[in-house]
Amino acid sequence: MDYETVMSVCPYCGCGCGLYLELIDGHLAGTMPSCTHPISRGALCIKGWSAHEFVESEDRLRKPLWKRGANLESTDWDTALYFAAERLKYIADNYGPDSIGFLSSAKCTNEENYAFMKFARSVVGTNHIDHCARLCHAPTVAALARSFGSGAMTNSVPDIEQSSCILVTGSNTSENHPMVAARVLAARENGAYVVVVDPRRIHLAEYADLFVQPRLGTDVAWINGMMNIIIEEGWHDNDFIIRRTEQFEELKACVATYTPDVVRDVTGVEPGLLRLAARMYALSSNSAILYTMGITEHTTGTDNVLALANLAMLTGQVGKPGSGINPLRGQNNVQGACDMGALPDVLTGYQKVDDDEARGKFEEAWGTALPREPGLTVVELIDAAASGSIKALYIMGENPMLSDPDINHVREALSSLELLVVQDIFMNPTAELATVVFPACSFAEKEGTFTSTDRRVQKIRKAIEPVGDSKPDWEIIKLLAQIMGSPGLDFAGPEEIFDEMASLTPTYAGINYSRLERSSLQWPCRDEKDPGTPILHRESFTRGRGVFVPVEWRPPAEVVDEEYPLYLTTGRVHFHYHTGTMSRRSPTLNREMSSAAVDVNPEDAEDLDVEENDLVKVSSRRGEVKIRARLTRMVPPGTVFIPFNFQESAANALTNPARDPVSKIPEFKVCAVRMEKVTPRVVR
Amino acid sequence: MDSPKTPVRKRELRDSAGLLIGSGQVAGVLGLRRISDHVEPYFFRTMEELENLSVNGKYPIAGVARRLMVRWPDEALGIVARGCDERHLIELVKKGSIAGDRLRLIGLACTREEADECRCERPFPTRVNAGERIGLCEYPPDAEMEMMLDMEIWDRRRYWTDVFSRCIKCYGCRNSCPLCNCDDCRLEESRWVRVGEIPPEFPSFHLIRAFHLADKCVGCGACERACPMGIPLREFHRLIREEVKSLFDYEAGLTIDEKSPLITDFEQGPMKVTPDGL
Repeated sequence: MDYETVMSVCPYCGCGCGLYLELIDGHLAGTMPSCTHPISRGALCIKGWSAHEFVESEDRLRKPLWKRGANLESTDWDTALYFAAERLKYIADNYGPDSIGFLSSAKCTNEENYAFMKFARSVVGTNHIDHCARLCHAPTVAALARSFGSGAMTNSVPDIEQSSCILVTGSNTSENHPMVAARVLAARENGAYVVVVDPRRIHLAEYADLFVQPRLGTDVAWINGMMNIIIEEGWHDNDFIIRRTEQFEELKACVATYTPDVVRDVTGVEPGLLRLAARMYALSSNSAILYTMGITEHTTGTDNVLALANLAMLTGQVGKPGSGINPLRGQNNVQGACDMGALPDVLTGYQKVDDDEARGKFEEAWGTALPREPGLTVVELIDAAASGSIKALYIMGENPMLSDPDINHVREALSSLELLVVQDIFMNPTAELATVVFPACSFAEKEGTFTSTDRRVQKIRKAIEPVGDSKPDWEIIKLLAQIMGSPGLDFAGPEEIFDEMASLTPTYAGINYSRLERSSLQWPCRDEKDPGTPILHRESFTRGRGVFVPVEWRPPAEVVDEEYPLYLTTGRVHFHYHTGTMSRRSPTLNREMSSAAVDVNPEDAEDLDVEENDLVKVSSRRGEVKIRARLTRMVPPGTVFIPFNFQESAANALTNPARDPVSKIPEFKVCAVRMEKVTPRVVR
Repeated sequence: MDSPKTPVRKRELRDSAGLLIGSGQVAGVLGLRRISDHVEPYFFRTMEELENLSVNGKYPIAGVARRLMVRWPDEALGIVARGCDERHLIELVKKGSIAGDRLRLIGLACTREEADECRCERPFPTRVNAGERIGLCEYPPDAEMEMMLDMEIWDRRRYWTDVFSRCIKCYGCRNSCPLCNCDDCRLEESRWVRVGEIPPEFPSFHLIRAFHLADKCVGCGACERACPMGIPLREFHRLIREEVKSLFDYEAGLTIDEKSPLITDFEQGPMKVTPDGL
């Protein structure tokens, strides 16, 4: 007779909700929100309430697999590990360490990302490590690091309630960060203005004081347009500009040409509306910006974020309670995976690999020489695999066969590898192509830490024993390193990994497991007395002065034409998570939504003679999907929306892999498609 | 384990729980434990564990008790019960979901502040083991609800449409409610509520819950606390409870013997209502 509640953190989005896994007689029996947790406060979204449901799914990978002929067959750990270790060694010896690439995981713990990063850099000796942050907030990391010196959410989730104006753009907050949307509504109850700028009429738009609907891919134009109005009207914060920033004159010159009429021509936004948005944002005492992929997943992603940073600095709306720039991170631990250096150009805490002093510190601590040149990013790794310069990929907890753009190309690339090692909790389209598959543990079976969207480091706890023969990711990496003769990953457990990481990472230096036992800490936290940092850039920016980086609007890489007359934009839906490997195995979530639909405006539907639930074929220059139509005014005429969560109607068969030149993020949010009704063959 | 400074209510609660565990009559005591800043449901089985037994914090713990009693059909269970928890348990016994004779309640009276937080009119269980019964409480009507009740019917509908459109269909109201526990939940059936949409259809999702709970709701407010979007569910259900009270002179959760007036069979004929009702 036993009933236990094990305190943990939600494994879905980046909100970082505290929850309890309920165990009755040692079996997972439910999930319950924590009433005393600062983010969840006794509530969860439907995904959080269902967090336990996928853990013991029949479909969990229970044994290692290896490819025999055309099939994956189960085997034991020793066979799988020795096989993978030998192949990795052979490929590194014969083609060099840079012939091997690593995709880390924003679903795994900080400790596991650190171990994986250390394995790539110190055991194999390559900087070719990246993860799906490339496909979400890479532009944020690049742009905010340039403008402010730190590429993370400036404020905290609870702090949003302090705002007097919240500008939400490119974020379908209520569907994808529900607990943040809760704070937006609470702020509105307190009297805050809510301004939603989005090409789609999202749920939150119904609660906005002002809803602005620009055309897809015109973000720099409307943001520059707002700044143009603010400067014209003298609504900017001169004192802040003088004390805290540099290069204001350059910005002023750049936005001068973005007059309301010019902006209307590009974006379709009426000058009056833009003016109202500018006024609300600039003149409110504490304005916050919330944004996600609608801003970043463009070939102009970095520019979009730079423009938002300019807007915040221009009006002095950063570094105060309720006032700042808040990129909402998608995955439970995408912030952490970035912090841990699972990126090709940085070690932990964004210490540059090509900075000799920083790299030297790691070389000394790890007792080995490390590569200096930054490695390849996600999409470049896939391209390099296709062209043959990458021979092996080791993928931990990612599913590029669904998450990456142009998946037909991804399939060709992965199929041409000499070795594909996949480590996951479920079989997925990527693992199906693997040479060897390691079964890993879910969040409920291991210890570790996640860093949620507001830089909040929190502990997860082991609730149940590993399912089947699965092992925690860090342990698999450790075993592989041992076989390859590298002692550097011989950690006794996650705490030892965390301590080593913290000793090399100034922003995490003051964090340790005993401080995290029952509370969370927000980095930077520089020593054991440091209470953490809920708000960044209060007195000065991380880089000293904030810098205005003027940006000009550029159109999307692919625009509509006669052959492909509709815009496609992609995203997520409330009831599923990313590639669906977890959420689609949750009965609760699957009951709500078991298949995808393409959102079509009724006007377009009429033109195409499409009715609700009709099967349609959507094609782009790269592929096609068949999918059922959902008629909704959430999308404007001329634009359709497909969620990327569903394998059988994969939006990323259509998307454009064209990349942002700085951050290398692909343009998931805009491509040109054609849609036609699929006429069912009449059976006589 | 107690210092002289331990507040009386806390000491009383620990002593009662300790006596119950010591008596061997129960498999354990379900209550809340405090570990640093967090209060969480916990199943206490030893005296030592009672050191962390918390008098603060509110979790709808009767729902946990129900699930445990289903799982452990032969065990008796101690449970720390505030007034609302006891009323939940009474309703669960009435519904036949749990066996009352397997329950040993440790009654915890709420403080004035705790009562005010929930606007609870009856912040104590029938027998109090810990804390002091502050008596029945009265609260001025909720200003927003008063305003709403003064509106024309179409404006009222608009008010509720607006309020319920915030819903993101987390089912937190259902999940947190110890009494909203049908085996087959209508809210999940696409014939009643279209699946996969937020907000869920108005008014079906919320009115199904309202009607299902009309004769069960004890007004604990767990649904409202579990609602991330700040929907005023406690007041919503209060209005319905008041209707039931004025129509049938019936309140849920007070005694085990009193049957719901909404349960009837055709032989009894129409439901009886109070003279000033209907």
